[in-house]
Amino acid sequence: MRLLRQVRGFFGTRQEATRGVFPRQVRAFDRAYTIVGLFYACNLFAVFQYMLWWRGLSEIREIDPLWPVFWVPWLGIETAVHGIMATVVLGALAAAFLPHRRSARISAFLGLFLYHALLNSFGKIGHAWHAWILCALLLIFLPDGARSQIARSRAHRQRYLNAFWSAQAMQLVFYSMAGFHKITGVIPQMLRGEVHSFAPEALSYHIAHRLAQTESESILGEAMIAVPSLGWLPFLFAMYLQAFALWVAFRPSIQRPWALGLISFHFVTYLTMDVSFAPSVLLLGLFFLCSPFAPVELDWRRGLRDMPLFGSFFARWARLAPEAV
Amino acid sequence: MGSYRAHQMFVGVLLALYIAGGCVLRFARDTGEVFPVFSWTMFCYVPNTVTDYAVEILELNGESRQPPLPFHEARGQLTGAGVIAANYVILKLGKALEQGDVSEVSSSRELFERHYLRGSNAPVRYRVIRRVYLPLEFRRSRELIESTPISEYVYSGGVS
Repeated sequence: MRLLRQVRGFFGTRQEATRGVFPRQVRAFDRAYTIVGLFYACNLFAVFQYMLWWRGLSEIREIDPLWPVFWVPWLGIETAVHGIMATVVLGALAAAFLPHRRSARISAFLGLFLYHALLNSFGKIGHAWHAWILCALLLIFLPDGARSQIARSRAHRQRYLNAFWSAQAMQLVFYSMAGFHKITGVIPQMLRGEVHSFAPEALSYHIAHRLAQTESESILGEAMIAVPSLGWLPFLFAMYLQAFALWVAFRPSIQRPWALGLISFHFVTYLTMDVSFAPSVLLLGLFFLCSPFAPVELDWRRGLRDMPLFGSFFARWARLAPEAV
Repeated sequence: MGSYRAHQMFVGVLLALYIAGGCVLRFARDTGEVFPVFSWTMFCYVPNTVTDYAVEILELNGESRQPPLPFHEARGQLTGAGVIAANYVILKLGKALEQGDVSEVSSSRELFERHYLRGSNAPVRYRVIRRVYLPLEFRRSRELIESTPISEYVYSGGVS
């Protein structure tokens, strides 16, 4: 338990005031329960979209199967596609109707997992749905039961919130890993005297390379290539948002603005590089813009103080007094 | 409360394992991943001088293409043109050709042709090239530092 406290201490800031903690927990549980239902409703919408690919997938003649669908060529591609599509559709329907049943959530995850393993078996693994799939995995561990059953017990409510938090944290882990790899990549490139991620023209190089890969066009890409330094500050800011995303799991006061920042990052990525992470935008909206842990009213003073790396600077600069515990 | 604490520990271990797995995969595998675990090494190195592989179409719909048509410019004519996944298969194919990895060449070629090279009403003649370029210069002027053909094929299976 000491370890968990130390982890919280490292990533978090001064604890929230303990006054009113139980009513806050009840309210957070209520919101989390609603968001989980929404997640499975959105999942159903996504799966409906997948159906548009059903026929095309069943007509495929060649596949390079990932490990979860290694058995597809043995069974026959057409039969396997029908089986996987039926699993994903039935799982999504079950979880949207019964999100409080673990069996339904397991079947939703299984369907998603197999479907995306199949979809990524054509030479490249796409990453836009990873967070969605792993959220579906972590939500399996929500305690079973209707809202009123769980709401009766403080321990059950806390366990529910904990499982919900784990799905939040997993999304943030992805961003932090992406951010830290970008930062650690700077050192070898700097030593070689190359353009690196902190350089003003870094983003324009990425855009030019990405667009060259598929001879694509993007709405803002050409402008960024023409004036390479245009992307400097946005790229530095995006790296900061990504790298310190995990801290946000422990600092509820900045969850909503941080999500807005990351969503904006996805917008810019699409407008410049033609790379779409639409599922992540929806997830950030559900789990963070609507976060059950975020304060009801945006407290910018607290938010500034809780900013990773710069929080204490902002606190001094804006002369923000520390909050009483 | 006991089960709550156990769950908290389980979540912590799971997240730590994912991070550790991702970091190991960054160095252990070319692609940095074993689905759905990924190192999230996206855009972590700025591409200064790029060496990669591309496909150029020499004959499409019964017509010879001179100069050769870059594969991704055949949008609307070939199923994989403009698709990023097709590009990854081309990279794999080019790398395997240069390394003399016969089985990888065969499987990548089969996947590329049967999945991404469909749509022509006559056999498609194409070549794989190795190219070296500076991304910004290439995007502005389409200038390559180096372009070397490494193999040429004809695919007749995808005739529509």
